[in-house]
Amino acid sequence: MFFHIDTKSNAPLYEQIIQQVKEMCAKGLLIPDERLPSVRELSSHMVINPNTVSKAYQELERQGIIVTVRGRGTFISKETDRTIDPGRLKAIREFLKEAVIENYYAGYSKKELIELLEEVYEEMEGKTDEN
Amino acid sequence: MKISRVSKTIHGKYILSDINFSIETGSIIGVIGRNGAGKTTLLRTMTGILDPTKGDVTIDGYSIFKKPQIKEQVIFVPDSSEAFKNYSTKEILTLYKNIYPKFDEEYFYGLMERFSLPSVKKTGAYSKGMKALFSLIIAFSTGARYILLDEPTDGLDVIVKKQVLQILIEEVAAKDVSIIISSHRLDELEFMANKIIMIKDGKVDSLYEIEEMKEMYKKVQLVFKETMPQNLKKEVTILDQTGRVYTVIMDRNDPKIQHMIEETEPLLFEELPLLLEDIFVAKLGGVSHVS
Repeated sequence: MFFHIDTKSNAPLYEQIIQQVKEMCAKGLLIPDERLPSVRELSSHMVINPNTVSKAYQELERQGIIVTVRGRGTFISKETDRTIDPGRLKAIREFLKEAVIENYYAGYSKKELIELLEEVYEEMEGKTDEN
Repeated sequence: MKISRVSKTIHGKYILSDINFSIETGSIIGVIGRNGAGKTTLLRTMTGILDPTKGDVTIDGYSIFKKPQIKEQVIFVPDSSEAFKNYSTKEILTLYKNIYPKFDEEYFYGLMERFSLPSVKKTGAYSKGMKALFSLIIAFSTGARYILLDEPTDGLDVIVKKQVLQILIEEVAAKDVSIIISSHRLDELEFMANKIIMIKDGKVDSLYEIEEMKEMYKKVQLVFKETMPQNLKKEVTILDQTGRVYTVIMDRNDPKIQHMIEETEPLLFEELPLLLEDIFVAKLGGVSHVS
């Protein structure tokens, strides 16, 4: 599997798992209806506490990114099923604000930041096409 | 499982003093501490092998010292066992089946096959890695809800070690058991354990969820124009110092310390990832122990 622990990161491990699932979805490495490993499989594979995986899956489910079907497993949800969470939009806004400030102090212009954002989108979408 | 006010003296010397904590099922608990801190004595007392001088260990409200049947809920796997080396795999199996009424023989053979462990006439013939695996397979087949392991990965090669840790995790994920591990391998416990008990001089120094612990402290790298001011030295634990570059552990939620650092106008003030090892060094004695 493609999960890994980043020991250089300050983010708690369950957040890293959430982030990795999201990233793989965005890149098209995980597609709707695809089955994710069970809590038991993933925790054993990564040699980490099962509660950490449960916590990550619960949060992903809450955000509508995955669905658990009793007796069948955990799956990536269909994109149309994704819930729009106003709280998360607020978090993204904060995140962007930080990026804008960083960009300013790094000496780049507004235009250059927008171009950079475009590039990141292309990078993500480009990976989708390859698959 | 509840450990209440447990003290143990051996030859008039306190090995454990006034230990209190409880364990819920479904967790992996790391017991850490310096050599000779009393970890093994604690595990042996928790399983009823040693009688405490004071205090009690209870499961579902029953004392394991007064109600021996309750011992079928616990198993202790020592770091190395020579006691059974002249017995065959079958003889040991029979022994454990008699002690643990819930022993699952089918599960036992399933695991033996999964790890390609042969049945032998004398278990002394097993290699060190095979012995460790065998002890764990026995422990997981007993049906005990509390499995206590003393240095389970000590001396194992990386492949066997990973296998051992993986069955251990699967046990917790699949069944409602708790695993209590004493280990010096903090890197292994880092992501595997959800709770850590630090033992210092026979006492519980701290008992926290790992995540909780990481929210309490912060590891930072600091570079000062000159040296670290004296008043700041009292507030942080210095893990390392090379010239004007300091690596320190500080309270994450104390704005006073944050402010004191900022006032000195450091050339660098950067957060680093905090590892269990850092907390161990800070709490149980580092280069310069302050707090």
